[in-house]
Amino acid sequence: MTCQEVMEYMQRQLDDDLNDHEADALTAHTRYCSDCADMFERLKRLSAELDNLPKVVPAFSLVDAIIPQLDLFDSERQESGIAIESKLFERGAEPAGGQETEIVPISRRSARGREKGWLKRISWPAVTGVAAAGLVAGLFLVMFNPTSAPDLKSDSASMESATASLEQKDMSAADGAKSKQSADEVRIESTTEENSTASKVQSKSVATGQQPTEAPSSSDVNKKIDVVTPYADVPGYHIEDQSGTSAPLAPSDEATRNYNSNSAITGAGSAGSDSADAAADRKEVTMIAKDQYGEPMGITSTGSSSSADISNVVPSPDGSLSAAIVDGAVLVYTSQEGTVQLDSGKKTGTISGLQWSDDGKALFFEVKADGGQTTHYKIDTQEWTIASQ
Amino acid sequence: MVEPNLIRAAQSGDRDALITLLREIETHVYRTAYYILNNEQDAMDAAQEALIRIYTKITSYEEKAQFKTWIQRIVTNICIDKFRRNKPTISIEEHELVFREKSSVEEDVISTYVADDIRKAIDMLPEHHRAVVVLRYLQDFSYNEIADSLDLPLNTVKSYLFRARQQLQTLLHEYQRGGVRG
Repeated sequence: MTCQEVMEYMQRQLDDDLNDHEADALTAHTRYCSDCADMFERLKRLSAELDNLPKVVPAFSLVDAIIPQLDLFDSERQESGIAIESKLFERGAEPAGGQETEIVPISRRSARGREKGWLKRISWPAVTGVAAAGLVAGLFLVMFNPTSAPDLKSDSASMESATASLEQKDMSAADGAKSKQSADEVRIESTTEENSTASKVQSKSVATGQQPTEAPSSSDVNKKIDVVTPYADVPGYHIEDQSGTSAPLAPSDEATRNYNSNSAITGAGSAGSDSADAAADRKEVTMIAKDQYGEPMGITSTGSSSSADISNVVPSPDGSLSAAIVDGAVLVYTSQEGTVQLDSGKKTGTISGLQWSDDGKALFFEVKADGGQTTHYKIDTQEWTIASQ
Repeated sequence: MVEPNLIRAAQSGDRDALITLLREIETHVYRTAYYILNNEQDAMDAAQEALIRIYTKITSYEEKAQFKTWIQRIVTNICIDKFRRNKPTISIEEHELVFREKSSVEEDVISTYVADDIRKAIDMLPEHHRAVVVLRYLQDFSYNEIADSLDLPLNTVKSYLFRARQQLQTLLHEYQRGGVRG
């Protein structure tokens, strides 16, 4: 028996893996081979020391420490279950390329036919990923510095659409996360409309989550344009989108949609909706679209833009606000971002005489009705009210 | 070590049973992590990660495998991943520590120092050799149980264990001759 073979016997002996015969052979060898005997002694000592390594215990209960995470996992799992049962949660594969702004179209009608496959299609790691993305989006909302927003505008259309695509994804991710946290029903529906005049596809996405109570919600379904909290005061959310419609004014026809909200994560601006019930919860945002020279050239209201006539643009004395007659209504908007702060609503008659007060706190205009009588209006830019005089 | 009935209850959705089960195994999970990672904080993190994974994957456990090898597979995998990520920064610090402690050794701390020497020596083993040693000595696993846990052939387990012990023996022998131990 060679010392090499004996070495393996010694090792196995440490693990009580030798039969009697093998153990005898080992003993016989070490009796006359002092090198192997020494080695065996050292190995036995090492093995004994390894056996005696301190049986360490954690400094605190690890299970107690992870209970919150386990609860979160449970509620997420429960959430997913509810969503499946209620058959309301439908989510398409989002475009990976980031070149187009549209979300893969899924109509509610066709979704019904595919409900069974949905359970199989969903990737649970992706669900947690979406939750994480939602957190990131939330952070973005909080950390985002609104003053740098105009710099994001770029003349490159492809850049913009890529950005919009990304941010739109973030938004739907935020909605997903929100829905899990608030344990509310969620319905995400995406529709894509082919533009009849252009080959470009305009995207509409409707993301309706039940908003937490503190979130501002528009109760007036019919009101197309809501007064928005002044942009600079709240965490802002920008989506720049290629409006892609028939606006004839400039080649780089860009429309800026501005999603604003008092509550960072609930700022799910929603786009033109097909369902009236969804409209109750959502908040529409209207922006004055500007060309690259900063001249107003179109109006966009949450996803749909129009090339409405903008005339009589009158900046306020300090230049921060502008007023304009748009499509038969007077709009007051921030000069820099184009966020519409107040919409007078469409007036029957001819609007004229837009005039700021010297201190810029009021805007006056008059409407001359077809019948000939003239009504004078005053817009208070402190309270954002409009009154006829 | 863990009652089969408890495992079945946990698998059928009994959350209390699952929590009880986690409490029973948390020390075993932590101990493996501690000796593979050789760092208390990393071990806490890895053990918690392993417990969460066990919680979320309990339904995927099948009784044809031993439960204890199933959980050790989860924790060793996490540790080996972590170990790979952390290794470049840790190895330097650890060697400094060895050096400092050697120069400040005192007679009355020799007994704890022996365990420390071994821990440092284990830390110098390649990751799979280290995992084999930890399962053999800290979890009292047989060759077969180690093979199941690490998804390695039986002969590989033996060869890793034998080589690891030989290397540890050599390292500790050098420490001794360096005058650290009597």
